Amino acid sequence: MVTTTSSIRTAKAVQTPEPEGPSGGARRGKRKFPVGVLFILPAFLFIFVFMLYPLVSSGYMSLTEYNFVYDDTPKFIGLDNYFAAFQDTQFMTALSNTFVFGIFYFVIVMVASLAIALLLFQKVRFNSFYRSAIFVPIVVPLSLAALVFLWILQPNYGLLNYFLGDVLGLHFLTQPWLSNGTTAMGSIIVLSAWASIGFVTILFLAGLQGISPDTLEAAEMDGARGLKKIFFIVLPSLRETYILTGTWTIIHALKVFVEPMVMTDGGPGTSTLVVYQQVYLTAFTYFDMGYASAMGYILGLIILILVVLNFFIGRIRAGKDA
Amino acid sequence: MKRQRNVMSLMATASIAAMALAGCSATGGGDTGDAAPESNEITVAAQAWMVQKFHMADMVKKFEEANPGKTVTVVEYPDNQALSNFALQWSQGKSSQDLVVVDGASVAVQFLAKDLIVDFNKTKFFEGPTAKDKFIGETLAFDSLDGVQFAIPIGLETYNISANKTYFEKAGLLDANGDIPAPKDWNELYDMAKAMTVKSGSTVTMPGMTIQWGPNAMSTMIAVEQAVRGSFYKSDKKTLTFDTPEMREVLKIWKKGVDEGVFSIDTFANKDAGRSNFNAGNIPMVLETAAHVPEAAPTIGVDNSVVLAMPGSMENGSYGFTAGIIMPTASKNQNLAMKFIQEGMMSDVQVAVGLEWGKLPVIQEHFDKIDAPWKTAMYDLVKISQPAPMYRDLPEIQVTGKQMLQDYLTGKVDLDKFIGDLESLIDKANKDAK
Repeated sequence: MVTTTSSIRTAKAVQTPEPEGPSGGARRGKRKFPVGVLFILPAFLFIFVFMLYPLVSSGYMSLTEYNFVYDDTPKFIGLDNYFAAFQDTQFMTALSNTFVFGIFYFVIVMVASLAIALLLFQKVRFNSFYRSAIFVPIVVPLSLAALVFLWILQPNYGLLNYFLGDVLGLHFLTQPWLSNGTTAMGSIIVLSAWASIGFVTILFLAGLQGISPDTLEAAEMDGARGLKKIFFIVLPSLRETYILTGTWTIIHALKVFVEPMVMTDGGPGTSTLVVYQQVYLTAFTYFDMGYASAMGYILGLIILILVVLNFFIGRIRAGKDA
Repeated sequence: MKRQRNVMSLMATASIAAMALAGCSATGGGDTGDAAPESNEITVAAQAWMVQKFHMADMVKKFEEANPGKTVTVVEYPDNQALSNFALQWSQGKSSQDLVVVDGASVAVQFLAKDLIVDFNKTKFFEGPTAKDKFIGETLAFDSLDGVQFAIPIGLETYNISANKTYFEKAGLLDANGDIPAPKDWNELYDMAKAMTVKSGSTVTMPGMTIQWGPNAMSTMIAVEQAVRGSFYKSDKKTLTFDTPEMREVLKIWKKGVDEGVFSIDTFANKDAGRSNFNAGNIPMVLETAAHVPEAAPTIGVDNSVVLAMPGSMENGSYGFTAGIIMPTASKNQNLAMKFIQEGMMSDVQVAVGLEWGKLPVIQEHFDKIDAPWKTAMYDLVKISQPAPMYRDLPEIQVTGKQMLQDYLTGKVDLDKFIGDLESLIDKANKDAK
């Protein structure tokens, strides 16, 4: 008897579901649908209230002239704010600085993170310690890190000049790091890269660990070792990871704000003024919400274009490799 | 299909509700509750440094002791940018604050535009111990425009040179009486600074002077021009200008000083660099608010920390400013709030504030109680100093003007280009306060 029952249960378990009539399946589906909606409703409301609504609202605002301290209501002016932005030397300088920052940041973060990930991918002693250590900057708040760098780079009593001058005796290398346009931008790039490399390294490491050991073993058996293995097997296998890390790095590169705000206030002059700083000043110091929204939208569109470009380049290459 | 439609209707309703919820915050039009009785509690918002330097805890304690049952809560806000959030709320007829202490008249004046703040002339504030004649000199004029008293000043300050006498003595720059002789012009001041500049090889290890060229760079320019020229306006007395022979001469000296390391540019990146170094005894002179003189006295010595009149300031004054206490029109507790200003903020707590931080009392009675060597020099200067122009676009002139000045001082642009761009910026700026 027991055997029989068990057989029946097994048979039911593997039984192919009977085809349902036109009304039966649909009815069951309909019964589940409202419950599912209730589950997604909180997320939907959150996205609507905190993302979609502000996005649409600021999109409309960007088409208006509206100083909320002085004007009673926004005045619709079409695309005038967008045209004005491209004739505004302050905005164009900020945009150019953002690109300079972005290019250096992107290259440094991507190359350094990949290199570190490849090193950590090797079986070396204290590997876990190194992996944890590289991740440490992520947990330090960026504004706090910027303040610490501010002290390190201070010209008179900063650690860097002390080390260069008093310890190494290289007085000619000591600089007012943040009072010179070029070194100020360099300092901001270094801080930002320092803060980001750990995270991108972890993403690359995850990608590396996703490569099948069989593939690596087969490559070794075919004589691919050392750099050959890295360039011809490992790196091409990271296409999807490049898309992910590339997207993350592009977004972080162009939305830079905290570092110049805390370390240089955009200076000296406008040497380190970036777009979001200009947006911030326009919105919250000059109260010109319409123009600030337009500038924000322009940068948002640029980021979107670059991210899409990164995605398609990654996909096209992946397709070619396949 | 019907059920699906119901679900879609549900989501649409939720969306509309959400939009209404979000929309409320933007267009609220909240009830000011004029008829509601006043509370026994008020909230005062101030920046963190104000809470400390104005001894606000002492003001609250004094007020609460004298007025049992009344409570004053002081909340901190981070910086001037946070005021935009307040203004947004006030424009909807609501206010979480009954009083806000703001950093300067130019910050306060912008809220006049839509009558977001109270005109104290239309209240009973100027009666009794805070009658207008109790205030020092023209102090009230610092926060007044077209007959509207939009803020009550607190903590009077002026721009001038804070000097450390020790360095002047070492450089042999003291006169026969052991005092620092006031420089007649900027060339003399530059020579003094150069004489005290210390170099190690070609590297400057201690500049002779730090000038505030950070976020308050325009205040420095206004102060210096007022001193050397007697005004920072064009002949129409309302248009700010720096395209004057006197200012061009000063700017050339500044550039020379920066190139040679005589004048420090630390303030580009750190606005507090000059003050911190002066208070620590690391530099001979700093040009910004002269309040650093009493502030540095405990560290560099009360006899060494002195006010040095910058060229022309003894005759023409400088740039004067105060923090301002504003009261939102939307505050529901205006009577209690005004009582707190009168009995707490305008009390003799101001004496200790002046002695410790150089933020001078605005009430004559309290000013007279100050006993310090710098008192007379400071008072003489305060009486003839001028506030910044009350333009709607002054914040933009301050931010962009600072960037232009820094570009000039670092050699990115020449003097003519700098002056031309700055004048153009001022020309285009909206100079109305309302």
